[in-house]
Amino acid sequence: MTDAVVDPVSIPVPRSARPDRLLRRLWRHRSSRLGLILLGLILALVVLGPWLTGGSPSSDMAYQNLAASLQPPSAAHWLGTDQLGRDELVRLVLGARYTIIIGLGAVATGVLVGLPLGALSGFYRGWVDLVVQRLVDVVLAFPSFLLALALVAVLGPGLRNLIIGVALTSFPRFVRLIRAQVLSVRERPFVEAALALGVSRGRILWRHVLPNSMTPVIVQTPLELGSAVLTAAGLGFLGLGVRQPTPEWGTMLGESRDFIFSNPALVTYPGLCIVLVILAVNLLGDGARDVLDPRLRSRIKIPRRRRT
Amino acid sequence: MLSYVARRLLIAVPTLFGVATVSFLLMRIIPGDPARVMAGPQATAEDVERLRQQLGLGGSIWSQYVEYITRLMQGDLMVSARTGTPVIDEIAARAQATVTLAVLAIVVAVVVGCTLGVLAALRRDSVVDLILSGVSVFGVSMPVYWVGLLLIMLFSVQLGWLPAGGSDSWASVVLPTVALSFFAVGFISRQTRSAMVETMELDFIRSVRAKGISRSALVIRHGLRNAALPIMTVVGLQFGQLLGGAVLTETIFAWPGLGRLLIDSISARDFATVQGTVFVFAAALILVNLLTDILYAYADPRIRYD
Repeated sequence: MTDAVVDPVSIPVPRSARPDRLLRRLWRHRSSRLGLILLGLILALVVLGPWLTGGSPSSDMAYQNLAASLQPPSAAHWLGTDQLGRDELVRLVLGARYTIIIGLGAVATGVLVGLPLGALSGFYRGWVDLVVQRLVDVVLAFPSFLLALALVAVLGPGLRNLIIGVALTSFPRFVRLIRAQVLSVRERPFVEAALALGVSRGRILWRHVLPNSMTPVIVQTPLELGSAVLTAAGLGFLGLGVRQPTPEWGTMLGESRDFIFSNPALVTYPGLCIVLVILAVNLLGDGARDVLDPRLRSRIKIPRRRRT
Repeated sequence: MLSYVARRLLIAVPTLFGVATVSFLLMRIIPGDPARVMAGPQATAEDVERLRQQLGLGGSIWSQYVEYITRLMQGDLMVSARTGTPVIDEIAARAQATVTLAVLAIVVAVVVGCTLGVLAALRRDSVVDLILSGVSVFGVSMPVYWVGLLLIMLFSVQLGWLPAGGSDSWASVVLPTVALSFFAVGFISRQTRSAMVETMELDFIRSVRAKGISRSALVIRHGLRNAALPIMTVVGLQFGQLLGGAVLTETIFAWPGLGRLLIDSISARDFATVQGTVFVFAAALILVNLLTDILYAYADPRIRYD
């Protein structure tokens, strides 16, 4: 079987789901544009952070200057200094890296585990489906934050365990999502056509079904990033995140609790940073939902199909 | 209806079993010797051995598993390595505080969330809608731990109106409840808004309106009632989030519930209690999901015949 014979059978991804078009339509939507701008700014901080803060001694993680601790904002330290005399702004800028890396790492792990499981589960059905779905049921039966918390508590803190813990809570949602999609795509005529042409089942799944099942995954990914950031920062807040003195926002927020009476600003900033990330992905997600769900987009009244 | 409930129950049992298995494995993936880790640095070899027996950590993994499940079925969740009391007693002593907090938070979230959602839906695309949408998207973006700290800063430090922690008086329940319900308010109001917008556009609403019924009766008796199903679904979904949030809320406000027990046990490396508490949280969530399903079928008879 050559590609020349197979490819005409595969239907291209729906127009709205092509990445470039999707991006353009998201840009036109009011809330997702705001989300894209915010996310762009945060990603710029991730990339440019070390360069922006290069001149400050606080960019060295091990730096401490107790003589300059808990200073109010000044020309030298725009947001003041923390309990160890480190520049708060420098640490916030550098913290973007850790927060985003943990979030992306967890989501990527979740996709890497969830995608094949969900695809196999939906495509082959049978006992594979049964086993995978029971596994997913069990993981989803736990309050997700608690599962990540328990896992990190048992394995010990640190970047790797944090990513594993958070990914464990996100992979079941990807399994569910991709399975539902594969279940419907596998019934489409082009799959039947490929089967009739003698294409192997594995190849059909990989070349025809999966590419046509990706839209919801693309939409879900930013939302999962938000939830991963939220969980990871929550663990950091409880002292179970990355090790000291890494400037991770959740950890910084947790440490600042002791100064809530004397230096409330230290509580305000890291929290605000976390909120901005999550706000960005939520706005983006809102826009994506509107753009991809024509029923919500159009002002023309369409009778709702009854749920059965 | 009865057969529907029975079927749901039957599905919940293997899940509960799976949850028990995961919590069993949790203690077995501790790097190194779990009994050694939990006994602490000063423990003698006999101490470690005694703890190993108490926690069912001796013998092969299969015999450990059988022992674990057997003891679990008898309501025995092992013994706390920190205090020596049975974990189940520790949990029983703290459960009420967490249940109180969670129930209060969900009630507040449903009442406030539905009200805001209905208001936004009725004034669709107006300034009110825009403001409420902004508020709700902020609501779902605010981590509970930050909301909690901000509330303490405002109402305890600045204004001095409410205590920052503890559980001595009715006033101390206010801030934790608000913090914990914050996220759910945003979530439920968003869902209520979209469900109400959809419902109010249906044909029967126009017919009812043509009968000359008052606006409030139209919205509540006919609109909200028909929009209730999707709202119920998200309320059920919110509960898991709420239980996770309770752990953080209890830590911030020094609320003496299960979440605090869990965090204290983690810092004390008392993994038997960690394991037991996590199991109880998951079991509670399974129970709530079961109740949501049943309530859902009660509200919409079509579901029973799926």
